[in-house]
Amino acid sequence: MGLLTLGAAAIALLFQGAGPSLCPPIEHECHLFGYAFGEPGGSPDLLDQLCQQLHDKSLESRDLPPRDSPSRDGWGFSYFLAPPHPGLERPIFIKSGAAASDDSLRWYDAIDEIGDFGLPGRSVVIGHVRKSSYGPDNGALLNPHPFADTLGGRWWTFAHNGHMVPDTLLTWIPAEFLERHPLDFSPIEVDSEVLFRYCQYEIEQHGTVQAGLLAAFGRVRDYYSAFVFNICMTDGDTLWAAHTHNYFPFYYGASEDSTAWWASTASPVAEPSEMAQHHLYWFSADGWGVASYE
Amino acid sequence: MSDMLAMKHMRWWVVGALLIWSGSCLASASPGSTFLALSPAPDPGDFDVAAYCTDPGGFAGLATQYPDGWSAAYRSAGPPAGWDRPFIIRGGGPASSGEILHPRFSCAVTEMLPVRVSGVMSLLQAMDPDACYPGKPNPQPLYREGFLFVHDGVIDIEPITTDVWLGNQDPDWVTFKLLHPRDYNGNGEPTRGNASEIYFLALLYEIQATPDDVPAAFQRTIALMRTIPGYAGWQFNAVLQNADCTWVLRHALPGDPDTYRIFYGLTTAGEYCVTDHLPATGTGWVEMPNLTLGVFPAGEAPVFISMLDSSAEPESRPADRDAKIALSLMPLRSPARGRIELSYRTPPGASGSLQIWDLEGRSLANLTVRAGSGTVRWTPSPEQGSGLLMTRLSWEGAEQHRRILYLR
Repeated sequence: MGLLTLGAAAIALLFQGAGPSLCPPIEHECHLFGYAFGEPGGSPDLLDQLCQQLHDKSLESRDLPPRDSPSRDGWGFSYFLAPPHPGLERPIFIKSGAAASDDSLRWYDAIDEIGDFGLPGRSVVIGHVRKSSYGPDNGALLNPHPFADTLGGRWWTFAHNGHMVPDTLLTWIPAEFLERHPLDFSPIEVDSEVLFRYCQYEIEQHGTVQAGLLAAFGRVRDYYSAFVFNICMTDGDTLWAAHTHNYFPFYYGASEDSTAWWASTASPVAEPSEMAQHHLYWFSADGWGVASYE
Repeated sequence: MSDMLAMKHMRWWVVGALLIWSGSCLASASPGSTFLALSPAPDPGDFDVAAYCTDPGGFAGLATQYPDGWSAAYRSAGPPAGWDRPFIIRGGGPASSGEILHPRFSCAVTEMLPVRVSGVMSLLQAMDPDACYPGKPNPQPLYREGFLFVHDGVIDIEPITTDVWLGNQDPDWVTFKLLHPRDYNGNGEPTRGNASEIYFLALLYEIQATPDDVPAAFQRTIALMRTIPGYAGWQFNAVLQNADCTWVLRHALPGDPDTYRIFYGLTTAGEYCVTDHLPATGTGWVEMPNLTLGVFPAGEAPVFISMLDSSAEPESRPADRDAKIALSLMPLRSPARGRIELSYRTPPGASGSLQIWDLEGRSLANLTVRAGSGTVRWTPSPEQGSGLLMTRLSWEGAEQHRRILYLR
C-alpha cells in the first residue's frame, strides 16, 4: 500500500471515527434517487417528492462561490416503459445540461412523462442531478447520468455520486470487455461510467448481480478508501443501491405494503432509514435484501 | 421591377431547375456532422436505406471521418398511446470499427428501422477541443419542443455566444433564454460550449414568431448570423424535423462548392433520404444547390427555396408575434416557502385566470391575469399546510398546468 493510500485511509478513518459532525460543511456532489415499484405501478406523489428533493439540491446558494454550489451541472432521468412496449425494451432517457432549478419547463415535463409512461406497471425509475468532477467540456454537457448499457440480454442503467479515479478502474477491466461494451465518454473518461463498466464486468464474471456487485464494490473499497460512492443501478425490475461514503448518507424507505421502495441521497420523508456503510441493498416488488462488502 | 424589389415581393421562389446528379462523386469530408434524414415521400425509389444503415461500411462506415459520436432519432409508427415526441438514442465514439457496428448503435438502428415514420441519424467530428471536446455522446440531433436539429458545419463559439446568445437584449429573447437554458453552456465561458446549440435556439426563437412559416424563420436566423464578424468562414447546413415536415438547409461557403454538398433520393420504403454523403447504392440522387432550403412535407414532394436573399435585409419579425406565442407558466421557486410566485406569458387578448388548488381538489385561489408577461404572487392562508399544490393558467380555451411544492 502506497503512502498516498495510507494517507487517504487515515483521513477516511478520521471521518468514520469522528462521525458526521466532522463532515465537510458544504454539499458539493451529485444527488440521486432510485424508485422501484410493483403492480399496479408507482406513486406519482412519491415520484414528485423524490424529484423535488433533487430539484432543491440544484438551487443556487448565495453563500457559496458558483462552482461550489450544489448539483447544478445538469439533470437526468431513466425509466422503462411500464407496461412494456413491443420493440422498446431499452430504458428511456430525459437529460439536460442545465440546472434543474433553471430548467423548470423541461424538468416538470419530464416528471409528467415519467408519470404517464414509466409508473403504470412494475418498473424502476432513476433520477440524478449532477455536480461534475470529471468529463469533457468542463462538465458543461448533457448530464451523463444515468448511464446505460446491455448485459446478459438486458438493459441496465446506473447513476452515482462520489469520487473515483477512472484511470485506476480502467486497469481492472479487460480490453476485450471494453470492446464489447465501449465507453460513451472517451478519451476523457467520466469516473462514474468506468465504475459502471467495472460493475458490469464483475457481474459477468460472477454470474449473478449480487455476487458481481459485492466483488466490485469490495475491491473498490479495499483499494482506496478515498473512493466514495452512493450508487443506484437497475435492470428495470430490481433496484440495487450501494453505500460507501464517509460523510454523505444514503437513505431508503418502503411503501406500507412493501411493494415499492426508494433509495435517495435526499430523503423525501422526515425520518428515513439510513443505509449501512459498505453495504449493498437490493429492492424489488418481491422484497429486499442487504449484504456487506466490507 | 428591380432585382431587389423582385426578391422582396417573391420572398421564396421555387428553384425551377435542380442539378440532376448523374455521375459518380468523391464526397469530401466536411468537418462537423454527417447526417441522414428520412421523411415520408409519395412514392418509393430504389435506395435500400435499411441495408445502408446496418452495413458497417455504409452510413456507419463514415465513422472513419466522423469518429466522435453517433445518434439515431426517429418518430415511431407505433409508439405507446399518448406518446408525442421522437425517440432519441445517442452514444460516444465511432459507430463502426472495421466490420463491426458499435453494439449500442446496432441496437439503436435495429430499434429504429422497422417502426420509423421519419428520423435523423448523425455522426460527429468534433472540431474544436477548446470549445467542445470530442469523446462524449453526439449532442446532435439537438431536441426542443418537437423539433430535432442537426447542424453540419463549423461556427466559432465565441462570436456566436457574444453576438447572438449574449448580445441581444430584446426582452422577448431574454425571456426565451430563461425558458430555454443551454445544455452545453460552457459554464458561462463565451469561448466554450456548443455553437450548433446556439444556432438551433436562435432558429427556434424565430420559429416561435412565425410557426407557420419556418422558411422565414430560417431566413431571419441566417441573416442574423451574417451580421457576425467572421461569418464568411462558417457553414450553416442544417436539418430541422418535426412530426409534419423536414427542412434541409444547404448554406455552405459560396466559394467552395465541393464541400458541404447535400443529396436526396427515394428509398424502397417510400421516403426521401437526405444526406450529405452520397451512398454508393441507389439511383436518381439529386444534389441540392447551395444556398437553398429544401422543404420536405411528410408524404409530399419537396419544395426548394432560394436562400440567396438571406444576405439582404430580412423581413422584420411580424408585429403580431405575440399572437403566436404559446402560453407559458413557470414557478419561480419550487419548493415555495411562505409565498407562491409564478412567471407567466400569454398571447394578447382578454384576461385569463390562474387557479390554485391542493391535491384533494380544494380550490385555494382563482386569480385574474392580464395579457402579456408577468409574475403572479400569492400567499396561502396561515392554515395552509405543506404539500403539493396544483396550478392552472387558463387563456381563451388553452391551459398550462404546473405543480409546486409548498412549504410553510
